[in-house]
Amino acid sequence: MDFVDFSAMSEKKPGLLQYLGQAWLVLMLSVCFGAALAGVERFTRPKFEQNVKDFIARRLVEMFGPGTTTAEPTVLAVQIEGRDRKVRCYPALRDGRRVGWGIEAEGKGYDTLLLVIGVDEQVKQLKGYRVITSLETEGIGDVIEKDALFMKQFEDKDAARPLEPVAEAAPAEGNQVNTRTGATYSTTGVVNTINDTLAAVREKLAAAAKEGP
Amino acid sequence: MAEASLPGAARRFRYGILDDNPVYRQLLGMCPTLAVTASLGGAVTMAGATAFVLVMANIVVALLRNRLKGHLRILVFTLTIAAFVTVVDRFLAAYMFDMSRKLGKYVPLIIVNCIIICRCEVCASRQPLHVAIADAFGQAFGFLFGLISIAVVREFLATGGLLGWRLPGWVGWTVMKGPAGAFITLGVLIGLVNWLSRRKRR
Repeated sequence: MDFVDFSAMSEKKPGLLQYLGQAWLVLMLSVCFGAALAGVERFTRPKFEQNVKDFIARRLVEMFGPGTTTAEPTVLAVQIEGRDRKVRCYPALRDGRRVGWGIEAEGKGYDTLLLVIGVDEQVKQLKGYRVITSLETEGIGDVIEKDALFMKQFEDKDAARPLEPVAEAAPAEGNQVNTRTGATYSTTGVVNTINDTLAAVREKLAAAAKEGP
Repeated sequence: MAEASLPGAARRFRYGILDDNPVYRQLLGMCPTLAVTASLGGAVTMAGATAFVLVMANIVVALLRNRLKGHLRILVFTLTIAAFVTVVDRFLAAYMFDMSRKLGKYVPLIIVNCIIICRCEVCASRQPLHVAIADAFGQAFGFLFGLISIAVVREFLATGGLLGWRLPGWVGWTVMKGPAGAFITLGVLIGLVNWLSRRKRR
């Protein structure tokens, strides 16, 4: 290994070629690793998506009751917070009839959240939510998937209106949801993710419901 | 330091497991050590993921060691480690989905695991490939030993069994499932290792 004499560099401004001469290894590694990671992503993506689909199918059974199955998702192109997103909506099927949707929603708590939101077919009633993946802090932010009382608050709420987060100690009425003290970012993040996603997909899913299965 | 004065492959391997054990001697990688040792399955998976990144990072750095610029070496180490951590993260998400969910952010956090960057700096950037590989395997086994020993104590005391087997009538120590149990177990085991080492020296 050789070191650069920065005192000499400060006297004479280095040119682009000198910078490239110093950093060629970093640049080459970046290109090689980038290409390798693209290959890994391409190889593992279908399996990961199948895992998510199986996971959502199990969670739909929890939210819609035993005997619920799912099928290929409807992919909706929507805008959430000014960004173009593709939202996968998995139909919740019972006896071959669509009874609701499991909507894959990405949002932000303390870190990135991936949720599945259960709603009825007309997107009028929430059935609840489950966490697919989250990077929330263990023992603090992970209440969003471990605190059954927090999760239960979302069941049977009005899906046509936004949910309103209120402090843990305050009495919650109507579409209000008590957040958790110490995990305010995470619990409010769940509420915001549900609100933003439902606002974006509500009309399109309701239109799909009118068209029939 | 002259390359000849540095330990050879066999000594590097042995040091990693015992004399320079990353958990009990160097006290490195404490974040996963405390966080994922509530169960044996999580501990073994974390040790396996760390071992893969450790071995691959040491191989790449040892191969490039004569081309490394001193002021850019940490950047090269981090870039290499981050790439292999991403690989292991994607494979866990694809083939061990439930374990990937359970380990959560601790897999991406392998990037900042001091054991790996330490071995790149101490060994792989200074010694030949075969020594770097032996060093990586030694440290990986040492880390595995550290995590397994803590996880066995915590899971047994918390649940009264291991890997699904349960001792009838055992009342689980709930404290062992949480951070307090992790700190207590780590402290007691470090004390035990130090006591045994001192006895052996006498």
